[in-house]
Amino acid sequence: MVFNTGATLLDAIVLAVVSREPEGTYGYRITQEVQAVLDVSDSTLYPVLRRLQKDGCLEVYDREFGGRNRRYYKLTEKGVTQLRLYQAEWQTYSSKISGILASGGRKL
Amino acid sequence: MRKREYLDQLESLLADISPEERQAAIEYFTDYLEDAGPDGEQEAMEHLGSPADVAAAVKEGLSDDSGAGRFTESGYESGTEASRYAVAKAGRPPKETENSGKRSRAEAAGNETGQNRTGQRETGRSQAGQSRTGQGETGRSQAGQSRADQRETGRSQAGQNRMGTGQSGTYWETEREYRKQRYDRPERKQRKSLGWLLILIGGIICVGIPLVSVLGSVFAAVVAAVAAVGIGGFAAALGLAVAGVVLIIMGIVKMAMMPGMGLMMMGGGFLCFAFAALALAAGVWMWRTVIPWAARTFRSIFQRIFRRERSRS
Repeated sequence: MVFNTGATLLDAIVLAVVSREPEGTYGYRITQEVQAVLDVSDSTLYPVLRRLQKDGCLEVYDREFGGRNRRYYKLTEKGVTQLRLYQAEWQTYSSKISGILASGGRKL
Repeated sequence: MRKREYLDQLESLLADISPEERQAAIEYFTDYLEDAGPDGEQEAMEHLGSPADVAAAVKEGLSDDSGAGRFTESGYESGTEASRYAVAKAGRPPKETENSGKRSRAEAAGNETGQNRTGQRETGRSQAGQSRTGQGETGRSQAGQSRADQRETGRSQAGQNRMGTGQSGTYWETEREYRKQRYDRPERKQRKSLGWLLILIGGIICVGIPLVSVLGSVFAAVVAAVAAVGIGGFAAALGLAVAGVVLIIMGIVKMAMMPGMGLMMMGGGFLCFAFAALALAAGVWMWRTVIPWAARTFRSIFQRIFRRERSRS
């Protein structure tokens, strides 16, 4: 990937991935899903999740799974708001970039 | 057990962070490896990298949160941060975005249908003058297509944005609040000065560092050259004096058999002495005059710079 993914975009992606599960989802799965679309290292997502949690965008709870407690992440109300903002921002941003890149291609 | 080992190592590497953070990180990575399953465990550890890598990532995440924000870090990173900040701030409620997008597209289409560009621009400009809404400006810059105009667009969008915020989209407010508490940053008014600060920092990095390093290396080269001449002068004096002594002794020895040759050699020896004296004088002059003078000059230059700065402030 020639374009780098900034911290904000990573926040947005993580929020989006977590929001797909109404019940919440867990670290390993989040990593897998993000990695399906983005080339990030496995340890990158922990700080992101931790920060989003501290910011109050994500809440955690433990649920029993296979004889142990697994930590689940879930969007808070604030997280939902934040994600919505990111979605709107991304819409604007990506359409502008796509527009300029497409028109640049046409002129050549 | 390999996994246990990995996690123990990670825990000891995280010894210097708060117990709460350490606990959270260990829990996360324990979970992570558990979820990878007994078969995927090894692979998961490979993907995570060494415990040291993971510890570094954890700590880096923590430093991000520490109050003052990322501006305390090196210029480059704060630049990234600034663009991130600016992007988030320059946005506006999505409805407005769509509207102005459509409008400018329509304007641009109008431009393509004919009319020379300058004419169009003037129209745009007068529109902007009349309406002052900033939207006329947007149209113009879209039509103008120059970079300066593009910048105008941004500015006028910011203008719209200010209005938009006044009307208050609800989540926009929360976003602002969120950003504020997250980065503990001043509000809009100071953003401009923040931008200037960044430009200044960028300028210092782009111009200052090369300048300082070039000046520094020139200075070092001059010092080395002066020292070399100083040392070289003495060395040459010594060498020439030794050569002179040798030649004179050889001349005296030859004197007995070949008086002509002996005299010539002795003459050469005295010549060597003369050059040695000259080199010695040059060396002494270098150390006693040139170097003190250079030191004084440098000192006065620096003093002048500092004095100027002091008077400026």
